[in-house]
Formats: sequence, structure tokens, C-alpha cells
Amino acid sequence: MALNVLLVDDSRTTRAVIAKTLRLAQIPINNIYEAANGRDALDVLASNWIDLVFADINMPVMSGIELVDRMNADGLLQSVPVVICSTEGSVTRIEDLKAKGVSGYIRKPFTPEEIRAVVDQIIGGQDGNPSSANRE
Amino acid sequence: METHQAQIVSEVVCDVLEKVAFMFAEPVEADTVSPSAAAGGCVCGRMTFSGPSGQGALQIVVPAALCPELAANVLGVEADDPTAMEQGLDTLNEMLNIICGQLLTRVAGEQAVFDLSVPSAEAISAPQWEKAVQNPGALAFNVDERPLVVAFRYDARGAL
Repeated sequence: MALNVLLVDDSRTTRAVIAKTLRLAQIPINNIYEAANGRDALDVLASNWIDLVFADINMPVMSGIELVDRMNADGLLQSVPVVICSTEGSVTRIEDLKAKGVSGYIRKPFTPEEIRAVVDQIIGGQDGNPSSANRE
Repeated sequence: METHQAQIVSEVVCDVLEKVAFMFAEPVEADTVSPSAAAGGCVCGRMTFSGPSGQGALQIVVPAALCPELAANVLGVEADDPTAMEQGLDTLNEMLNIICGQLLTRVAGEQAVFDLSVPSAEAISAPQWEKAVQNPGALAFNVDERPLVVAFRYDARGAL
């Protein structure tokens, strides 16, 4: 199954790098959507079917943490897997995010292998069937 | 900047530039940075951070010409590609962001939590460039024959 992926990061360069990395990692992609902050991401999520979200934490307007909170509060969005992709390395913060139900955490700088591993874990490996998509 | 902290900053800057932009940074003495490096314009990126463990700021100053080169390397395009020209400042900001995140883990430990500001880069004047280079706490690097000057301030007691 090819995925619809939403990339949420205020850096256009980083969104381009993640998109390129997803392709290099040979992850089946249908469409890649982009948003520069959590608020814009919610707009994209409201009008498009998204299978997987990659979100930064530190963004203007609405942070990645608030985005996760807003998705958790929405019955339609709470099952969409979110992978946090951030520069932050605080174990405390990562544990907080896991408690909120995020599906994965990738620290920048990242490699294509790390992206591939976290996507495989979420979509269920080679069979391509989303299996552990629920964050709750 | 104390010696141990300066060593960490140096290691992190070199590591991030190599991993993200495939560029090698060589530490150099700040007084070897030529004033003419600012002739084509220069840029300063800044961000701050704060949390229960402390607060501080990170600043990177570079010649403007280095920004599209950074973007080109990160994006895998030619330096004169319009995308690289357009995303130079954005790439410098993201470098700042990644370096800051890595530095905080090394300096304050993995348990410490910080709120980071959104990085911001802007053009600065030649006198501002001089001031940044002459900052006693600044560390200078040579990146592909261009200077890059970093200043990192961290107050673990939270009393800037």
C-alpha cells in the first residue's frame, strides 16, 4: 500500500530532505503533503487522507507537541501515526511524547536507514499493511 | 567559553556539518579570519533556549555566500541552483537548530528539558561581523575556504 505522508516542519529544506530520504529508503509513497507548522498540518489533515505524519517539535504558530495533543483530542485523527523528527535529545521529553502516543521518534540529523526502520515498524514491515497504526 | 565546553562546541559543529551537509569544518584561530570574508555580505543566525536546567543562546555568523553552498549540499543540488539560492537562510537556521539540540544534550545531559526558540537568520553589517569574530567566546572554523564563527552561551544556573 502506498502511503500518503504529511511532513510538518517550519524548515522547507528539512521537508525536502525528509521527502528525499523517504524515496531513497524505497518506502512506497502515494502523495507527500507539507505544512510549515501544526496549525497548517491540522488544515491538511482535515481535508486529506493521511497515513503517516512526520512532525518537528519546535515550530512557530503551533508546535509539534500541541499538534499531537490536538490530534489526540480528535476522534478522526487520533489513530493517524505520528513520528516526531526533532533536534531535541532529551530523554524526558521523548518519554513525554511516547506517553502521548507518538509512534516514533527520530533525532536530527537522521539517516535513510533510521527513517526506513521507523516506517517499517509502523506500517508492519514488508507486507505494507498498517498494523500498529493506533496511537492510543 | 570554558575549554571543555569549547571542545564540545567544536566537536558538535564539525560533526553536524559533516553529517548534514557533507562539509568538513576545520577549527581555526578567530584572529586568522580575514575581514575581507565579509566583503560579499554576511549573515547571523541566532536562537535561544531556556528550561529548568538553565538558559542561553547560540549564534552562528557566516559569509552570505556560504548559505547557498550549505543548502546545495544538504539538498544535493548545484550551488547556483535557484533552490539553493532561495533556501540558504532556511538551511542555516536548520543547521543552527540541529547544532543547538546536539549541544544541549552534550552540555546539560539527556534528562534536561529545554524550550528552544525558532532560529532566525538575518544579514549583518561588516562592523557587526568584526564584532562577532572578535567576541572572546567565539570559535572560528574554516568550511570549504569560508569562515564560520560560532558563539554558545549556557548558564546552568539560569541567571543570564
